[in-house]
Amino acid sequence: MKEVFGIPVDSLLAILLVGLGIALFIVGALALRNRILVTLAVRSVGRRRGRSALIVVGLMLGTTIIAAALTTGDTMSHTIRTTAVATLGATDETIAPKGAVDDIPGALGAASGMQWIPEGTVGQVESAADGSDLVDGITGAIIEQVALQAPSQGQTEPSVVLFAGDPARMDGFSPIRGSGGNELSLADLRPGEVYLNTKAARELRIEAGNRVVVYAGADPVPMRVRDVVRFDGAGTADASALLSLAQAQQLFDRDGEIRAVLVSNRGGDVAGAARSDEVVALLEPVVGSLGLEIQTLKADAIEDADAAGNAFMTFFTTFGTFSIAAGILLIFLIFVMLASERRGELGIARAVGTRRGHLVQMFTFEGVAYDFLAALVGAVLGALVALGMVMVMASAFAAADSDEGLQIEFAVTPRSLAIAFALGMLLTLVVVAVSAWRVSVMNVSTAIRNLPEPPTGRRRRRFVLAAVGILAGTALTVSGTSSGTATPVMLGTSLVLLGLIPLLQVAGVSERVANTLCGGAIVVTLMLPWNLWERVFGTLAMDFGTWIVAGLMIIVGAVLVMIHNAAALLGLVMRTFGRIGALAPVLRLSIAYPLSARFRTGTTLAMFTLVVFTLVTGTASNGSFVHAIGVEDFGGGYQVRAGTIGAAPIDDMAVALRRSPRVNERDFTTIGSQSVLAVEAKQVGAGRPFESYPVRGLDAPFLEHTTFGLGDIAHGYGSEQEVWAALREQPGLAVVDSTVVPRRDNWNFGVLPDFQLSGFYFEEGFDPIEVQILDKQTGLSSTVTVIGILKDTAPLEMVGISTSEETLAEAFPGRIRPTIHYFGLAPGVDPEDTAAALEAAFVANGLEAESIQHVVDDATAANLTFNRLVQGFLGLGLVVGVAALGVISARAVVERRQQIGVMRAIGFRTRMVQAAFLLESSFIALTSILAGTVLGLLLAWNIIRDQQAQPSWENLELIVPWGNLAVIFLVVYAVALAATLAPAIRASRIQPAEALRYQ
Amino acid sequence: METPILEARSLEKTYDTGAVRVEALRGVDLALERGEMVAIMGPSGCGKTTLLNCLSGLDSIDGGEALIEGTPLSEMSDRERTDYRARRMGFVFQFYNLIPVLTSVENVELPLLVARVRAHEARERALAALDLVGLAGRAGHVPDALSGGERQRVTIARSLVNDPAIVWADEPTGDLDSENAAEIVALMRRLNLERGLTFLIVTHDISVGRKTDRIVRMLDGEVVEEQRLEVPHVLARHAA
Repeated sequence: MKEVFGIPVDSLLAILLVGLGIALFIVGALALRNRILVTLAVRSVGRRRGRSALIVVGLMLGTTIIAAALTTGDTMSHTIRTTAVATLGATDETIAPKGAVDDIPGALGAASGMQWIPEGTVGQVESAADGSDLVDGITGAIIEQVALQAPSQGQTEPSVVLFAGDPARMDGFSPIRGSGGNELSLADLRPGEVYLNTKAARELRIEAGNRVVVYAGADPVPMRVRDVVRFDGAGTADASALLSLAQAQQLFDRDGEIRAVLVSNRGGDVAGAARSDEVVALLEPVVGSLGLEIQTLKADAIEDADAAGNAFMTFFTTFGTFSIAAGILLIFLIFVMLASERRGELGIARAVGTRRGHLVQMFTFEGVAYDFLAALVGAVLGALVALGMVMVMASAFAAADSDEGLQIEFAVTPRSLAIAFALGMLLTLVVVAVSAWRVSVMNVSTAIRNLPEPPTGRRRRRFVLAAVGILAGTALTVSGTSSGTATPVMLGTSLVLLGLIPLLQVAGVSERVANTLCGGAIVVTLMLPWNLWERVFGTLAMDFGTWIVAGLMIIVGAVLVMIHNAAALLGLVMRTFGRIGALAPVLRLSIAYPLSARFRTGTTLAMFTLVVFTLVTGTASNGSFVHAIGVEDFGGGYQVRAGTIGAAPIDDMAVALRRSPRVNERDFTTIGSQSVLAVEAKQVGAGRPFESYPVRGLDAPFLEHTTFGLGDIAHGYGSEQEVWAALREQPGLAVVDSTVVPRRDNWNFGVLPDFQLSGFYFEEGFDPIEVQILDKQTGLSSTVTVIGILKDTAPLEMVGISTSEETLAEAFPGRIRPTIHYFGLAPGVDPEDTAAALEAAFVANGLEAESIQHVVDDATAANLTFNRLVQGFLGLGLVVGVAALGVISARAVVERRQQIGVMRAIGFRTRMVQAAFLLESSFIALTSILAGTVLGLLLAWNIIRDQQAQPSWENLELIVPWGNLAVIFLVVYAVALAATLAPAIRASRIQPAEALRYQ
Repeated sequence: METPILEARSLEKTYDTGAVRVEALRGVDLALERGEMVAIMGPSGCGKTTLLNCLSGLDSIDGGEALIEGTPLSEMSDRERTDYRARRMGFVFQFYNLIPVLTSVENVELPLLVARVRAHEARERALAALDLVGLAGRAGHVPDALSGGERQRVTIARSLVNDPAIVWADEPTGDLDSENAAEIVALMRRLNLERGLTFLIVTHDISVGRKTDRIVRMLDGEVVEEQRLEVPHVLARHAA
């Protein structure tokens, strides 16, 4: 990855390391000056090893989550890089006719009509590079999609990339390894022989010596497989066949012609790409003079890989924010409790002359020791968590594409681990320093006697808090309103409400009423439908930051309400269950204790509720989106989609079906076709440059029958049908997919195409937009007018600028041939069987067909798996809550030792003591699960409601995966109880005489 | 002759930490009559609190026998001892040891709830007990809002709310000033006389000891002296 959190990786690492270095230098300098404090801190760490281990676990969770997100990004980046290397091998640049190798992923459809160039071009390029040490290989090549059939095995592979290079010039490129591991040459192939790579051989179930039939043109060509080989750089990471250039020229009847000149830079498969700019500068004069273009394929692929890795990392860090926030709360809680445990000691230390600053230092030294260990373990554990996530993702991708699947390879870079370590350590260090400062503020005499801290300067402090909250909140709200951004408005409003709490108290309102009013107001206002916000503050743009801020503030408000009203709620519980004999005394204590420690209980409630809230919101809203996509969205009214190779398109599918004996023409009710052209496009008058983007020519039957939904329609058009009809009847009109359209709300993590429209928002309608499209190969250009935008639910296969076939044919004569076909089927005709029949019928055209239902099922399965992965990742935060319960239970045993002694003395049985502890944890866990679920569902409902008002998602419904959530919460509750069980058992084993011996 | 409510026969208790072995009780013999108020006195570390803990079943014994209402403690399981404490014993401690998160009345009614008395009845009896110790008006206060003397009164109310056979008091005045200490001792004495409660009080304070029926002096884990006090109310009771 090149960037993390929008900052270049190296810069971020440098900033963090410098920050950490400065922090550690200061801590180190202070440690040298006050060695006795270091000794005290170190001994405190070693005094109770079990508890120290628990603290380390608590502190490391934030680092773990960060490391897991970064490592996932590394893995995706590495995987896509690996795929790029497998596809390109040593090839760094390609010289070909303009527009010939513009990147159109296979899923988008094959372009046809690409030009060939003279083989002599290779010599001209070689001459230009002569004397330069930048390049170590130049060859002419033919890379073309073909179909292969293994007659004996009865297998057909409609889409195989045929790679042919000049054997005399392959030295600088990747080696070809035979099945025995030996290096082979294309020159070894005799006429009629071909190499297959392992993937092609596996799919065709053949081995060396078997026969295959190659469909590369009008006539099938039988060949013998000389060997099954491994070769990087065939132009695909999937199935490929290798020939010598001369053989391929003969096969395609293109004597003395090639498709492209491949260039390999010095420096290996990845490092060589760094020289692309220099190589382009070196070769550009001759390439330009030949009317060709040079494409830096490897460098572009690596950049794409990093962008994809970055998208994954951003996704997981965004979703992990709540867990990280919960982790920070846990760190704070741990250190405040640690200090409260030693309050007496600290009071005595202060009494004998230790300064406040010394206490801060002592705690910070101790914190650094825990912090270092926690960050170290957390970073490594994060990588392991990522490994688990990657395995789940691999299965998700496999589900999405049952034929191939992206082969995900786990990868972790030291830089990512170093960033996670440094970030985790710095974050913890800051929280430790703040909590150390907080606990150093004490009344010495009450501390020594372990009495409660007397109230001091409350009125003044309240005024300051109120002023800060209200002023900062107002400033943020005003700023957000003027910039039309929701996040600062929501944060600002919440801060104003929080600022009102101390103000109300100064005015004589009780603490409970003030907190309930303001906390409740925060929850209610942030849960209001978002269109109401916009009525008050004007149009507001939202993104995931809004969700994070709103979520955090909702939890703050809810916890304030809960903690200040728990007594009433629990009184009800007591009145209901307190009548059960043995339960009454246990229930009384398990309610009274958490209520008496508001800070501790509130913080733990906040942590737990925060994570449950996120989990429920994320799972319910994601799940709803997953289930919102159906066959109609993906198929546009058709049941089967098929694509042929660009070299052998089927110009009239209806006629072809009629002529084919392997399909029944009457099975098909409608046939729509598309042609695809790689062009450059730009919005007229927007001041942006041309960018590569596919353009689609939709034939009249397609336009007549399609039901692909439109998310937005240009002013002047009344309906989707009207737009499709206009495209059919009036040349020069187009629709675009929604990824190129600007949005006010940005909920997207993916990498957007470079070609983008501007001047309007998807959510708000638009006037027809003119887009200029340029065919680089012919130099011809045309202008189309965009009058519709496809819904977000449209499939990847519809990405591009879609216009009528007639428009494209007129603009770019001779360049347009249909390679994509959609089929509507007669009632009762099975789409799966039909897809198989089509593939068999048109094997010579390399036709691949799939039923839309199958595609939807695969996509849904993949999305559900990914959704479960997100659930699992969000669920990591629950570990924070469970750890918090473990920590406070362990602490409670120490704190209440004498009280447990008394309880045992007055007749509490050991089981009753255990039950009191378990019920106490249950109170926190169950309250959090309930509150988090209710609030999460409300927010999810709000999200769905908002989306229903947006283009594309009118039919979205809130679907709550109750089963999944129930299992998660049951497991969490059980683990929470398990985390409390050990301290509870320890408490019950306390000997009363022992406990009562000392004050 | 009536069976003593409490009897210790050659009671032994040893603390062995591995490095140090301390013989806390070395063959203690002691008997308490029903309705008697006895003070155990002696220097720090002589085994007073250990004796109280062993006799009340809070701690185990290593040798000898302790009988409570004629039943050997060693024959009771931990659960039986716990239940017995809930029903028949009350405890008063030097540092009150109230549950800080419960109000006075909730603290007092806790033993009743443990003994499965109905909540309504428990509350009535707890309020009555607080009234008996003069704290009816402080029923809703948590311990932190009470003075030391008041806290100890709450502790005494808690100790007598379940009509115990015996109340154990470990340095009940140790954390109080002399005025409050005198009030607490007077209260215990009153309850002893009016309700026939048996008290075993561990104390350093001779002024507390002087208010009891008998002082048992201990030294190095042994009973070295017993002194029956001839104070007016004691004499009156003996005469009766």
